Amino acid sequence: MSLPKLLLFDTGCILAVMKLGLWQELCARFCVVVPSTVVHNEARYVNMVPGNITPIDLAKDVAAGTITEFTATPAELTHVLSAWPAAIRDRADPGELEALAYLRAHGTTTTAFLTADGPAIQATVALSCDGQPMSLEELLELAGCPKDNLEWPLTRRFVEEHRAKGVAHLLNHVAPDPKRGRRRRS
Amino acid sequence: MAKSNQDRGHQGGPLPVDGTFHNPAGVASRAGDTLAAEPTTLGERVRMFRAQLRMEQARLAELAGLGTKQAVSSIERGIREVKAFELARLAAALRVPMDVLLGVTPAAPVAPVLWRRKATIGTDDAAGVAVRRGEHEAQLRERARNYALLEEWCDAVPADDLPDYKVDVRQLSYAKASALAENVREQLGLGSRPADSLEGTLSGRFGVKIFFAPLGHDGEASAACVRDDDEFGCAVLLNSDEAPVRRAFSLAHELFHLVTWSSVSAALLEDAVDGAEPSWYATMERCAQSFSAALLIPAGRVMAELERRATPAAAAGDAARYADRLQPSDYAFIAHDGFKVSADALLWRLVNLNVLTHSERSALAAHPELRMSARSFAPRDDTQPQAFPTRFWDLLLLAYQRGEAGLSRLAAMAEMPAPELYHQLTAGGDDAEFEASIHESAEAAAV
Repeated sequence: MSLPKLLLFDTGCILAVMKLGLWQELCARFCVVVPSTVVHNEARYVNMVPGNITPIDLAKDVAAGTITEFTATPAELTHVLSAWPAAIRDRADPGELEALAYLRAHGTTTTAFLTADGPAIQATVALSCDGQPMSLEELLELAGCPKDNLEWPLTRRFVEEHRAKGVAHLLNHVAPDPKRGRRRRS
Repeated sequence: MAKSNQDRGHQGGPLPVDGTFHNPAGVASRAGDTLAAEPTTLGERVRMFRAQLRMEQARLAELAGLGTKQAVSSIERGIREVKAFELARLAAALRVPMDVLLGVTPAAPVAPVLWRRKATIGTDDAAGVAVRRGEHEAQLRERARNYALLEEWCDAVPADDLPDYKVDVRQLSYAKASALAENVREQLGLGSRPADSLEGTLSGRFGVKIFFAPLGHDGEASAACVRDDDEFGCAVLLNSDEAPVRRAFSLAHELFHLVTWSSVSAALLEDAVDGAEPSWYATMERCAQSFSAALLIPAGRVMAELERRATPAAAAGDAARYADRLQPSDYAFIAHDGFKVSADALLWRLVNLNVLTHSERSALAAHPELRMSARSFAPRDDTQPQAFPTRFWDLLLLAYQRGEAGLSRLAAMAEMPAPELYHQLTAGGDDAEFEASIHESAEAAAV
């Protein structure tokens, strides 16, 4: 995969990048877009080391023009949720929903969706944008600053595994579960 | 010494065993409650879910960080555009899944929550109590639903449901409640000191979801429970402000409601008028206390304990006069060491078993020696219990490692900011061995 022009970040990846100390560098090298839910609700601080909380103010980065904030409308979110595989709808996170709304509306082939959220990666298949999810591991390799020992949700294999699960959802035509949210014993 | 019938504990049990009268609150909401017309717009759904919680617009505005109640009013009337991050906050404040708030998935019927509270609340605060309860109820249901989802995602749904006994709640008696307790103790295999095994058995074998929340020191509410075998099974909310020595008793009290759930629910639907509790409800609550005492303090074992510590009977016929053969501190010791319950609970159980009279109980309960001993046995640990049980955290960790849900979704389930959960989940840093070990322990927990 070639180097993406635009990065769409989810909370898990932002926190990991902050912890690695690469946020400023990535913002300088790429056009970074962050969903409003992540900006205002989720990525508020990071524990750099135990007991050392570093506040994150992405709204400040937005105001400074370092990153771009995207805000989805309820209609756009509804659209994404309706297409979200029914079998995993109860796993959808508001920030990921908003990111996928952006991908649907504005994504291009050079937009990379930086995510560590398995269900969101699965949903990209149903939303016909399964080429966009990218692991942090892959981005760091492409950007020339590879890191070892990344957590499992930040790895290339994690993205591949969940993309395959998304394909399975589509192939199996998993119908909306009439007992959604009810107890299903394995 | 002769005892009058009034003085002697009557067959099957007297008043509540913990010395505090617990008024039932009845059912706050009923299964199947929905508005007559299904709301069609986002604003209508916000209003409906807010009304279900008995929440004022100003309170919702505060919880969702929307500033003023006018903002909520405008959203409900559909004249204000809602941004995605505001929608996420509204869903969190209303404790409704995003897909339900957006109308993509219909709202499920709301299971009723049974409350136990003390009678110290004045009627002038009834509205405030109702509002606070509404929020606690929504929190309890949401926690239980999320816990059940984690069980499902991690293939860890317990195989067994709690038994559901058919009882005639209009004809309940202390004797019947005590007999039921004997049955339940045996069926659940709680052993001779049930307080030790109760929580673990309910949680591990039957998947009862036990949560804690600060419900106040003044006894505004002691505990609550809800049962919905289709959605999440059984859930209990205990008061984290309650003294540790009373927790097992409160849990046993809620267990009575859980194992008689369908009978009580059906009778409540028939007899409750305009939300007011039926005439039999107060008796049922007292029976739940008797059940709790009988469950935690088996009759045979308590008699053996009394006999073990009592001085020898002076003459034939005095065998049952333990009030004369035991020191007040003995009761505190037996309560703590033998059964892990409060001294008050033990004293009421002894009245129940006709070992003590009411006047003997009152005198002992106020005796300085007993009070001092009870205090000395009380746990020194004043730390508040965790809101969620250990098994919940194990499943959450497993769900994260398997990629069953993303960080933010799991953080919302754990009622903590995403960065905090991220920190906790990644506290092992680069140590792969550490990661592997917690993975193994989480897998084991799921099994």
